[in-house]
Amino acid sequence: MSNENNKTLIEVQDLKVHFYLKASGFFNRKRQAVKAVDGVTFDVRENETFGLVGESGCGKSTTGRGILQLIRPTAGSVRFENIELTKLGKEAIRCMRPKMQMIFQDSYDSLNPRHPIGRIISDPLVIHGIARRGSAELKERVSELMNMVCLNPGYVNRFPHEFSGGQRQRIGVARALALNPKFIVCDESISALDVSIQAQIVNLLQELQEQFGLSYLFIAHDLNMVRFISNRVAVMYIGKIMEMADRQTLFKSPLHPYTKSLISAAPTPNPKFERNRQRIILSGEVPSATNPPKGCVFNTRCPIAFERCSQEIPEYREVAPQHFVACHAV
Amino acid sequence: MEPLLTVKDLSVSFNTTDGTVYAVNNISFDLYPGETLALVGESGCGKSVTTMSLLGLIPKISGNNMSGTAVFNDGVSKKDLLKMSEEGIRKVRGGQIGFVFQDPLNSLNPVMTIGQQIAEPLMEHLKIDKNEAERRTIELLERVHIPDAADRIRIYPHELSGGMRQRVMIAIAISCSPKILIADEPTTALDVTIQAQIVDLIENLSKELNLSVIWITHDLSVVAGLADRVLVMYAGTGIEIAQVDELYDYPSHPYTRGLLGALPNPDMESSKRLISIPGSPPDIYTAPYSCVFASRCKFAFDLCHKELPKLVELGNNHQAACFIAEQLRSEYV
Ligand SMILES: Nc1ncnc2c1ncn2[C@@H]1O[C@H](COP(=O)(O)OP(=O)(O)OP(=O)(O)O)[C@@H](O)[C@H]1O
Ligand SMILES: Nc1ncnc2c1ncn2[C@@H]1O[C@H](COP(=O)(O)OP(=O)(O)OP(=O)(O)O)[C@@H](O)[C@H]1O
Ligand code: SF4
Ligand SMILES: [Mg+2]
Ligand SMILES: [Mg+2]
Repeated sequence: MSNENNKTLIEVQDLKVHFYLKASGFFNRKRQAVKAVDGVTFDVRENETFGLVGESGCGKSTTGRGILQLIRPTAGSVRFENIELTKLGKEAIRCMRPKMQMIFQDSYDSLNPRHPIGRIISDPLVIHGIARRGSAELKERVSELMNMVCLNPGYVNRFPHEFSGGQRQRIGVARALALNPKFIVCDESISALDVSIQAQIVNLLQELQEQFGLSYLFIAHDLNMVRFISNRVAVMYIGKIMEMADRQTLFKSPLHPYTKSLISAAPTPNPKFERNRQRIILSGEVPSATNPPKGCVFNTRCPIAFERCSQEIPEYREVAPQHFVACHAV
Repeated sequence: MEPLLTVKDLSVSFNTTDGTVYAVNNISFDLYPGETLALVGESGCGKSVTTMSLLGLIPKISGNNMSGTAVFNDGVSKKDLLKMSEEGIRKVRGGQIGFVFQDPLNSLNPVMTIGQQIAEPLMEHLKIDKNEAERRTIELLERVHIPDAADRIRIYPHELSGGMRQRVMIAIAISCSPKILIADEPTTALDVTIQAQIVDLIENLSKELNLSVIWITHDLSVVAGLADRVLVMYAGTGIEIAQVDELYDYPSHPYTRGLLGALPNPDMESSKRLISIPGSPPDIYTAPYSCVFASRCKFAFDLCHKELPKLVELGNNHQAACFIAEQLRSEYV
C-alpha cells in the first residue's frame, strides 16, 4: 500500500466545473450556473486509493469526469504526471486516454449489448492501435485480461446479458485494464452489487492495485467501504471539499462538522455499537447547487454555525500535516 | 406474549415465459407486539414478495401460486391474511397494516395533493368528514416533522424532495393507527444523512405507537441499529433467524457468516481482504430440493446437495437451516 513518500500522480488545483442551464423565460437572459464542482484541490499519489464521499449531487462524478477530461473543466488545473491536461487538445487527450480509465456504476449501461464481451474488452486495444482485430496477439491479451478478473476465457463469445451483475462489473474492470492504465476512476463501481459480490470486486481491485501499482479515485456513498479501501479520503459538499485526510484521521478524528455528522449518520454492522451511539442527525436537506448558500455552503445545516459562517467562505487550509479543513470553527 | 402475526410455510411461485419462479419457499416467522423484525437478504431473495403476500398485493392470476398461512391476531379476532377476500384485505392494508415502500414517487399519486392523499384513506377507513380529515392530516404531517404542514397539504409530490416524500408515505402509513408497519427498503434511495433522519423517525414512531415493524433491507448495517430480531433470506428461503445480537455475534449459517464477513469493519486494516462468497445466487426455476446455498458453500458435503435442511433450534430462539449449524454455533463457545 502507498505511503506519504509515494510520488504524486495527479494534481488537481482549484478545479471548477460549472454547467450552464438554459434560462427559462424570454426576458431572462442570464443563464443559470450549476457550480457542480467549485474549486477542489487534492492530489492522488502512485499506488494510492483516494476516496471521494459526499451526498448525492455534491459533485463527485463531475470531479472524476473533470479529471479525465470527459468534461472539460471551467477553470483550474489537472496535472497528470506533470502534464497539464486542461490545456491539451482533443487528439493529445486521446493519446493520454490509455493511462486514465473509468469503471462505471452500472456496467450494463456502459457495455454494448450487441457485442460479445471479447469484442467489448478488446475494443480499446484496437481503437488505440495496439493490436489488430482478429490477431492472435489480441486474442491472447483478451484471455489474459479475463483471467485477471477471474472470468472464464471460454465465455469470450457470450453477450453482456448472459452474465450476472458482478460478472458484468468484472467485464468493465477487464476493459478498463486493457490498456495498462495507471489511474482508474471507480465511480460507484460496486454500489449496485449485492454485498457478497461487492467483496469479490473490492478484493479484485486491491489485488490488481498490488500487482500493477494502480491508483484509484474511489467514489462511493458507502462510508464503511471507502474507509476500508482508501488511503486518503476527501469529503465533498455542494461542489467543495470540506475535509481531507488519511483514512484513520478522517474517520477517527474528523474535524469538520459535516464530516462528523456524515460519519455519525452512517450505520455500521455492529448492533451493540449502533444502539449506544449518539447520532448527529442533521436537520433539513442539501441545498441546490444552482443556488448554494452564501459563506460556508454547509452553514444552513451546520449544528455549530455562527455569524461569520453565513458571510465569509472558510478557507480550505492545512490544519495539521496532510489534514485539510474548510471551516471557521476549526 | 402471543404473536401479532404468525406466518407459516408461506410459499409463492410465479409462472413466467421462462418457467416457474419459486420466489418464496416455506417461510415461517412470528411477529410480536412492539418488536422490529428485519428481513434481510440480497436482491431477488424474496423479501418483497413475502411482504406483498401479507398485504394481498400478489396478483391473483392463474399461474401464480400462494400457499401457507399468515394469521393476524388483532386481539379481537384472528384472520388469515392469505385467505381474505379482496374487500377484506383492502381494509387491513393501509388500516391495521401500514406500509412504506422504497420509491415514494411510485407509491404517491402525482396528480393529487399531499393533503388529499392522506385525507382520502382517512375518510374511507375511519369514516370521518372532510374537515376532521384535514385537521388530522395536518397533525400527521407535523408528526412526521414536515415543516409548515398546514401549507404543505396543498402541494404535489414532485414538489417535495425524496426524504420529504418518504415522510409523507410514513404519515399515510400510520394514519389509521396500524398495529403493523411494513417498511420495504424505505431508506435505500436516500442519502446517508437523510436515511438517518428517516430511521430515527420510524424508530420513534414505533415506540410511541407501540407498532410492530417488519423492516426489509439488504443493508446489514442499517439492520444492526434498528432490529430486535432478524430473518436472513437466501433464494426464497429463510435460512437463519435470531435476536440481532445473537445473529451478529454468532452467525451459524454459512451464508450469514459469509455476508457479515463480506462487510468491512470500521477498524479493519485495508491490507486485509474481505471474505467474499464465490459465485452468485442460484436461479430459482426449481423448487428447492437441497440446500439452496450448497453451490457456494465452503462447508458443503454430500448431503447438502441431496436434501433440504430444515431450520434447527440452536438455543436462545436462534434457528438456522443448515446440516452443520449446531456445530458452527458451538464453535463460538
Ligand atoms: N451535464 C450536466 N448538466 C447540468 N448539470 C449537471 C450535469 N451533470 C451534473 N450536473 C449537476 O451537477 C451537480 C453534481 O452532479 P454529480 O453527478 O457530479 O454529483 P454526484 O456527487 O456524483 O452525485 P451522485 O452521488 O448522485 O452520483 C448536480 O447538481 C447535478 O445535477
Ligand atoms: N410478479 C412476478 N412475476 C414473476 N416473478 C416475480 C414477480 N415478482 C417477483 N418475482 C421474482 O421473485 C423473486 C423474488 O423477488 P423479490 O422482489 O421478492 O426480491 P427482493 O428480495 O425484494 O429483491 P430486491 O432486494 O431486489 O428488492 C425474484 O426472482 C423476482 O424476479
Ligand atoms: S464554517 Fe461554520 S458553517 Fe461551515 S461548517 Fe464550519 S462551523 Fe459550520
Ligand atoms: Mg455520481
Ligand atoms: Mg424488494
